[in-house]
Amino acid sequence: MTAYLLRRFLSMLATMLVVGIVVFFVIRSVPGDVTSALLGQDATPQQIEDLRRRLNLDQPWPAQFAAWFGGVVRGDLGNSTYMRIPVLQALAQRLEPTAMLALAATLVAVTLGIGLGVIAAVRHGTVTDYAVMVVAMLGLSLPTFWLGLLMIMLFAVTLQWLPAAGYGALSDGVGRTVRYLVMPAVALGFSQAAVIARMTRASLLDALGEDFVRTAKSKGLPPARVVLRHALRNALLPVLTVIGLSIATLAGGVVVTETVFNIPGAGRLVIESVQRRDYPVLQGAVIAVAAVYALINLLVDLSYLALDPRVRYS
Amino acid sequence: MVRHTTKRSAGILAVAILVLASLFGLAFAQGGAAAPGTPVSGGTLRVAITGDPPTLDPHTSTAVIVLEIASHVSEYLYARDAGGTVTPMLAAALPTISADGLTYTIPVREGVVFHDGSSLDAGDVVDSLDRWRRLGFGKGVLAGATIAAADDHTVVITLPAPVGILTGVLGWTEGAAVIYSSEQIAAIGDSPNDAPIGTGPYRLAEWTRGQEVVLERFDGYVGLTDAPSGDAGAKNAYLDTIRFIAVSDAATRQAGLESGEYDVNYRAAASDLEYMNASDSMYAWLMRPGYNYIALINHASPVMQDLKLRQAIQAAIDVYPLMLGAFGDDAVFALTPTIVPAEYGPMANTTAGAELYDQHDAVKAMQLLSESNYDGQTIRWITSRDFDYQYRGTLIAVDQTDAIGLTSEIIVRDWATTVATRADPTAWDIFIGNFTIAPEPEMISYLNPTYLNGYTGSDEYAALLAELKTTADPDRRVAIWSDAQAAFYEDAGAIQMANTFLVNGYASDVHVEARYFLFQAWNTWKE
Repeated sequence: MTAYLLRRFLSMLATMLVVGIVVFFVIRSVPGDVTSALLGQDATPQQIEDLRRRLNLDQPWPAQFAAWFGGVVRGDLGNSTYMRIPVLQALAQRLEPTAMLALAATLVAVTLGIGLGVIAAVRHGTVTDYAVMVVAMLGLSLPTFWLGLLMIMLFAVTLQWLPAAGYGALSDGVGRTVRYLVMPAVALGFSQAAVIARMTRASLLDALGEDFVRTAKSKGLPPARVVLRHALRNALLPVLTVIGLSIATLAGGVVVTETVFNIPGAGRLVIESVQRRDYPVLQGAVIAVAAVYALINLLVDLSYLALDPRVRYS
Repeated sequence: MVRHTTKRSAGILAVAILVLASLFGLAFAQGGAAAPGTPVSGGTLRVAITGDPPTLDPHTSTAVIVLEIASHVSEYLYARDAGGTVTPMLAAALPTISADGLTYTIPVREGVVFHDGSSLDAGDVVDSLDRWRRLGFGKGVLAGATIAAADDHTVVITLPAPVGILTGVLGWTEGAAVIYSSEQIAAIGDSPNDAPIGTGPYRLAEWTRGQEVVLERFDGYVGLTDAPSGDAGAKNAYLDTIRFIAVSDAATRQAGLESGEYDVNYRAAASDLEYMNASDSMYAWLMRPGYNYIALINHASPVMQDLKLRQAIQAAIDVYPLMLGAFGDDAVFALTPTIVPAEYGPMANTTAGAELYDQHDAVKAMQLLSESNYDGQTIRWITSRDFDYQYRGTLIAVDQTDAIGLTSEIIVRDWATTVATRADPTAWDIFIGNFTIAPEPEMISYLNPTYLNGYTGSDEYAALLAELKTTADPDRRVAIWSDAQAAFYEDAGAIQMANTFLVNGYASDVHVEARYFLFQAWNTWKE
């Protein structure tokens, strides 16, 4: 097991390295650099040239790569050329909002998805089943930004129940954080809830037709226990894979959701860095996202161990 | 059971309707705007801005958002009042100019203190102007000049050749010559000043990069006592705190204004103008003059060096439908042939060259085209959908010019790529967009040969501009610029279309004593 974990860790490092190298050259092949964002539209070509020189953007790519990679090896991702703070600091500042949003959205997606999936499976073929599947289809079809804007119009502008935008830091109280997260978490989690609900329904329907379920029923166990303890647990393996993929997909949705709800998170930082051509932040952020993906994959693989005793990693 | 459920559902529905109705009622009851009364001190103004500023140092950036935040913290020697007249701010009086126009003696106000408690003196001004010359707009007007302190509160600038606009530039906002203390300049060098210590009515309390800039009232502020006017006069700091919150999405800024999350929607969408003006809980303010919306011509491109071709395009453009299509509401622009807007004072001119403005004469355009050397080359219009008004204006312009026989290609890129492409003289021919305007032609980028479109102009225009640059006499300047503007039109240096205004949305309980064309939160209070 230790050897397996070590192997996975090394492969994570290799992945991040490859991602870092690719993103370094890809973003530089796109026209534009940070000078236009820093200097404003009326800067003269001379001012732009001077700034490019000060930021070493006039250096050949291999020289820029050597400087950046040398820092990465020492654990230094460099400084943001736009914000003039270390990349690690910029990412760390944005970590809490994104982590909380992803966590809350996952909670919404998993709770809603599994709950609706179980209801649909248990009420298979009834109006409830069809209604749940319609809701699921709706969740899959609605773009996150549109759902977010609708929620802002209803709950923030019209009813004024929830704040329209922003983020409440945990240090200011959990209640405030929750108030700010309700709408974005639902907007972001809803589409993934739909995916999870459909998978849960299908998987649970299969499990409910298995012999062990019939045995459990014939033993006289209460229906809820049969479904939740026996059938659902066995149906969860494929659902877990979908949940893992959903969390990864959420990372993409986070970018849009953070923009719509003005959450100062890592997703918005990536968008802003692309627009500004803030290379060091973009490189650091992409490496960080790659690390998160790899970590989620590892955690999903490890969770199979807990759910299925037959699974062994060596 | 079914009946019971139905009854219960009906009950819940009724309660929900009542709750919603009462909430709507409450919302409308709260919507009434109180009449502005006597200014009151206190409170926090939450301004939703379009994004994190690149710096708070106008020496190193011409971005408008930089100045609009930094001007609360840092001040400059002179300022312009609502009529465009330059008046003293940190200077005690207008400069005394020697007869040969080479020596400017500027008295510096006494008793002014920086936010760190140190006093302003001539040494601070010298070091600040020197830094501004090294890094910013001062490079153009103070090149080769000697800047020295004659005594503790007198600065003497000695120029190698007369500069027509020096006083005006020292009181201009974009890329402003703000004054920092010598100690701070020694500490920061040429790096952008991200924690400015100025003399303004507000001091920087906190800047969380990417999130918000927080300013607090500076109780030691020593301001002027003249009535507020434009950028000049008294700066009353009624508000305790100003929070500039980065909100990149326009719809979110507007929703935040409507829900009470923000007090100001900085740069509201033109499409929200009518709605805001009809509302009791908010109002829109048009900041005019905002920009000049023009077709910038790349004079370094071989095809665009053909005068007849440029004149053909100029003759073909029908400005009103183009502007309406680009902006969607004619309340946010004004058609005008004057390149320097009327709001900026005497250099405005609505007659010189005006016969060549907004001709929308297809017959004349085709005639000019037939006289040109144009033989079907593709005209490359570069634009970006990041700013819809650029893209839509370009589409309409292409439609209008294709109608006279041009062949066009529209190159659509994201904004950063557009800027980069525009810097390559071989990659584009025409760009349509908003450009910063100023009281003096030398301060308008696209009128000068140092800008990226490489415009040196006809011999007549170049000679007039050269004369203008060394002329300080106001009447003479007006006369020269009148001829130069006519020559610019004749040469089709760029295609003038309109002034476009910026829309800011305010909550009804926010009152402003005096407004400028830029956002200011001094002389502003909340009920």
